[in-house]
Amino acid sequence: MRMRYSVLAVAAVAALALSGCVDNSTAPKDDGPSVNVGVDAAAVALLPAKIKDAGKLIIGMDPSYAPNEYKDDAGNPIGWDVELADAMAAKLGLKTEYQASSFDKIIPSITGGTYDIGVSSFTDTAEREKAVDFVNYFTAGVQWAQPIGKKVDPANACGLTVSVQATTYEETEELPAKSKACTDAGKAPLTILKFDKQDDATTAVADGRANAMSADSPITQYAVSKLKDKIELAGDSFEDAPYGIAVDKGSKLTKAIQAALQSMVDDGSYGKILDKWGVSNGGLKKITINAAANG
Amino acid sequence: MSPDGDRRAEPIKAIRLRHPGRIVFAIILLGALALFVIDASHREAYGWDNFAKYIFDKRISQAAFNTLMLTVYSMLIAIVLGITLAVMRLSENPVVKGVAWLYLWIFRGTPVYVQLVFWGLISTIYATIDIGIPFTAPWAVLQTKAVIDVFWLAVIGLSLNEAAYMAEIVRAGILSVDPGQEEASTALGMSWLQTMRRVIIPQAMRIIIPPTGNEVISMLKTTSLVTAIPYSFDLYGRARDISVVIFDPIPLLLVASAWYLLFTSILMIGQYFLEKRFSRGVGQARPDKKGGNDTDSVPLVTGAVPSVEIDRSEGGKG
Repeated sequence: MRMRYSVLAVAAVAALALSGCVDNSTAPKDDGPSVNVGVDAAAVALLPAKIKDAGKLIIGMDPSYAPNEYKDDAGNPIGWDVELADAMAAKLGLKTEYQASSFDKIIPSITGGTYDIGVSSFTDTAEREKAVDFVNYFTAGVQWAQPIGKKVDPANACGLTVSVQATTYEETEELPAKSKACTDAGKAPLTILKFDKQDDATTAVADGRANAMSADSPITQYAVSKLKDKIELAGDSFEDAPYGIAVDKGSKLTKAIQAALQSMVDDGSYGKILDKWGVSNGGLKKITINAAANG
Repeated sequence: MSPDGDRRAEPIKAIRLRHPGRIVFAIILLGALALFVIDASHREAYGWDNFAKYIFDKRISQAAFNTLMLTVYSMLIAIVLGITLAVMRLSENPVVKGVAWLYLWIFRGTPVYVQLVFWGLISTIYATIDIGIPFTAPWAVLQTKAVIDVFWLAVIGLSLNEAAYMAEIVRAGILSVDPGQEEASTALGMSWLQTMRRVIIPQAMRIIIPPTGNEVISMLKTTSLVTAIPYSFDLYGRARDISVVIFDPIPLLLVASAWYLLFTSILMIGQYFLEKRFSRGVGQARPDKKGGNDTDSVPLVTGAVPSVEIDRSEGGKG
């Protein structure tokens, strides 16, 4: 008999709790793109017929990389990468459809045809260019973060533990290269702590599990600005490398995207978006294709 | 010698056996627990202010509801598919048996997480679903992406994996029923379906229910793996999304855990009632237990004679 009352009690609690009385959502950002761009006819002319007919661009993205691309309270992607992509699609007269994915699945999904393009702060590397073409639209460096008060020099980090997000440029190229240089010089290698998501890597250095964190400069700067009392920048950004929008190799869409972005650079909407998010020092004057191969 | 005899026996002063060791152990355990609780309440790393802020957050309770839906749909499909597979495995037809074995081998032989990643990539592997006769022009071509929503991908992935485990549980239940039951049913002229439905399955339920309840409770937690697809509107996924922005993962993990605990507790109570219902009419009546009915005097359905004679007579034997 007592069991029956406990069921009622627990069910009542559950029902009340499920009604979700607390609303912690932050004030919604203004809807729609922050800049109004018109359609660029020259760029539209370069679009492949399939995309023009579909009327939308399916964009693969890993929205866990603030401030470039991350999620708002409702789970929709926001960030300056998202705003650039929205404006670029508007120039091409297309709608955008963002597909959240884990970072390592985006390029395979592009070559497999599930996504049209990938906008996820991809660093343009020769290795990745074997699978996709990149339209370069930004220059980011690598920048490290350290716990407050510690002195970490990215150039002399032998024996340190460095946290990083898995499959990023830092994890696949930068840190292994540094570690090899250390072992070649007879010193202790780096211990690389890989995490699936960027925020785990950031909390690892904030709570002391790692001596430092390596990520793209906008991400590191944003993380430091959010955790001012725990971490700080460990030096300036280095190894500047281009970001690229990933498109299937040989696709005609590449030129159309390049044209749309260039027209945004020319009419100032590109600069406005970067200024709004405070990342203008990575902006480009000329939108290129496959910068890693072409030097 | 009856209690109402001439000699009045003195009432025995019975003192309960003392267990000083138990008391000491209990004090140590409770002391350690109290120490842990008091320390945790002051520890900054637990972020109790964020915990209180987000425990009833709209997004979290919506995500909890999604998790429940995932669990319910997945288990329903898994149970139906599991029963089918179990029956297939017990069939005489070697092809049917082999197909069921192959299914079990594949879906139990790969990790759930890996299977869910595969389901996330299904629209890359099979861009379109063509309905029609093989090797001829299809009647309908469906875009996989448009037709299957991420939520249903999660349900499919979870249920197909779970069906393999449910098949073995159901098969164990069916095998546990005494073979004499099936022989008797056949002798009475019952068809296979009648035998299954009216004789075997009701008896098999006693063996099937406890592990199935276990599986439902386990599925509730396994839904957290749907982040592999990625489906991020379940409890763990949403808690993660919030913790990404505030850079404070621990209180949000506690929020998600609290909700999982709440649902698990409800499910455990549900399992208790389910087991009670399917244990009716089984087991031996004891004088100190209430509520026996007549069937209680028949302990085992196989007709084995109980080893303890229940003495219901008043007074002594003479």
